[in-house]
Formats: sequence, structure tokens, C-alpha cells
Amino acid sequence: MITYIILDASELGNVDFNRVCQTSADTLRYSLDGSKFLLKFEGDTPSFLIGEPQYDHSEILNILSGSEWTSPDLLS
Amino acid sequence: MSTFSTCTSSTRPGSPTDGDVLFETDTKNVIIWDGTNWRGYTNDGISFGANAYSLDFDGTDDNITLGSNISISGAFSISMWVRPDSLLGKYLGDTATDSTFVYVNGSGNITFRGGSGFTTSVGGGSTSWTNTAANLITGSWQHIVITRDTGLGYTLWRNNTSFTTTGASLTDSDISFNQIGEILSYPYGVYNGKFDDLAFYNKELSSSEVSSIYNNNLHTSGLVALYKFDEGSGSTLVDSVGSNDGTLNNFPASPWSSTDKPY
Repeated sequence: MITYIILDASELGNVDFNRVCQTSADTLRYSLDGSKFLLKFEGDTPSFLIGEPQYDHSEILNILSGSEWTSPDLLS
Repeated sequence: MSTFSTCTSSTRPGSPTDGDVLFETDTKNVIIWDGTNWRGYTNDGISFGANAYSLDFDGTDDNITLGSNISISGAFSISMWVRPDSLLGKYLGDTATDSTFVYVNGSGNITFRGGSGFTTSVGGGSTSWTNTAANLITGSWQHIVITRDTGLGYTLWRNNTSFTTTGASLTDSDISFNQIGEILSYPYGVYNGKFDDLAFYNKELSSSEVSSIYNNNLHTSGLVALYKFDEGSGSTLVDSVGSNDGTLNNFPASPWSSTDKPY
């Protein structure tokens, strides 16, 4: 079970990349305005993410498909 | 000197015995029955075998970065198996300039863009295939081949059926790929689904060669890079032809599937 979390860009320094699936700060996916980024983890919630809103796969795909994260379809 | 029995790719024995060896007269390949699958060997040494795994991209930020750019000028072909869970996204891309990509819109229309001289304006000027029969669909494995001839004419093959481009007006011959699944700097959607057997060629594949890949997973000469997606673990995607391995970024611990694969 993978859990997804969105953090403010200002919290980047708190991320322990040994506890999340993301490879490094260089591979993070940011919102289009750069104010937020995505994290995901398996198993227990890492201590630095306790208290943050959590999403499942379906929920996060719905969020990421919105205009805050994805530009309009190129060839709709 | 011994002589193998012969067959064609469509007349292989229905009840083979372990170790049976035949020569296929249409593909010019030697095939061996391993008890479960036919294993084949081409005349240039590129072999195929049982497909061990496919790789699942979760559609959020999973991607693979190649060690260096695959750059081709002139004729080329790209072959891949995909099983999208949703359609919209970039399947292949170039993180350096974002000038080359294979993009699929929400209706399943495939677009190819390559080189700085290409345009991707909505509704025209791009290399796209808008024939409904050419569209990708979700939930099903599909074999996709994009070829370009020396005159820069493009053809799309979907499950062994060819389609010519619509609205193509392309003059730049350079392409450059270095990422599978997503271009983080250009977020028009992230690939969501399974991926298998990606191959780049420095030539236009013929219809018989496309058919051979589709039916037998047989890769011919002209390979620039071949990614079988059969690692099953780790964070490296091996280039079976050269040394341009890829690095898995942002994947969970076990993104490989040994059961959901195209063959």
C-alpha cells in the first residue's frame, strides 16, 4: 500500500529521502507554480510526515490531474 | 553438418517437445522450445526469451532517466509495449530540451515531436495520428512502433497495423530521447500504466520486421538500444545492446510485475 502526501515547498529541508519512494530532491514533482511537491511512502508513516493529510492512489491521481499540477491537454 | 526442420512463424508445432529446434523460413530465425516458451535467436545475435517482467508506472512521478541521450538523425524506429491505465501523458521524452517526446492525449491520439524545428500546435502542424483505430486504449497491452523513413515520412504501427500521419509537416531530422515515463519540467501528464520492451533502431523497420517483433518479440539489426524491462528488482534498467542503462526514479520497492505482461 502506497500513501501519497503533498507538502509545501518550504518543507523540503525536513524530508528524509531514505523513508520515501522519491529518489532525491532532484526528482521531485512540483505543482506548476512550484509551491508544493509530492511524496509517497510504503508502510508506516515516517515521523516527519505524521499529521500531514494522506491520499491513496486514486485520490492523488485526481488531485494531480487538476490545473494546479497538470497543464491543459496539448491535443484535446 | 546437421539440418534443422523448418516451419514459419505461423506454423510452429502445436505440441513441441523440450529442446525442439527449428528454422523459421519467413523470419530466418532459429527457435528452441524450452518446455514453456519458444526462445529465438537472430542472425545478429540479439536473442529473445521468455518475458520475465513488465514495469508499472503509477502515473504520479515514476520515471526512468537514461544515462545519455539517444540521438538519431535520419531514419529511425521506436518499438514499445504499453498497457495504459489512463491515456494522457508523455510516454517518452527529453529532459534536456523537451523538444522530443511521444505524447498521448486524453482521447488516445499519439503525437510524436522531435527536434527544435517541430511544432505541436493544437489541431495541426504536429506529427500525430488521429485515426480512431490508431488510438491507444486503457487496460490492454498494445504494441506501438513509430518509424521514420529517410524522407522524414512517419508511420505508426499499433498492434501490427500501420497508420500514416495526419497533419505532419516536419523538417527537423534530429531526435533525442533520455527519459521514459515523464518529463518533470514539462508537466502535460505523466505516464500511468505498465511498460515493456522498448527498442530504438537507426533505420525504418519494414512491415515484416514490425510483424516479427509483434508476433515473436524478435529484434532485428539496427538496434541502438534495447530495454527488456526484465530486471525484476533494483533501480537500473539495462540496455541489452549498448551501455546506455537507465535509472528508475521515484518508484516504490516492487514496481515489477511477473504476471501482467504482453506475452
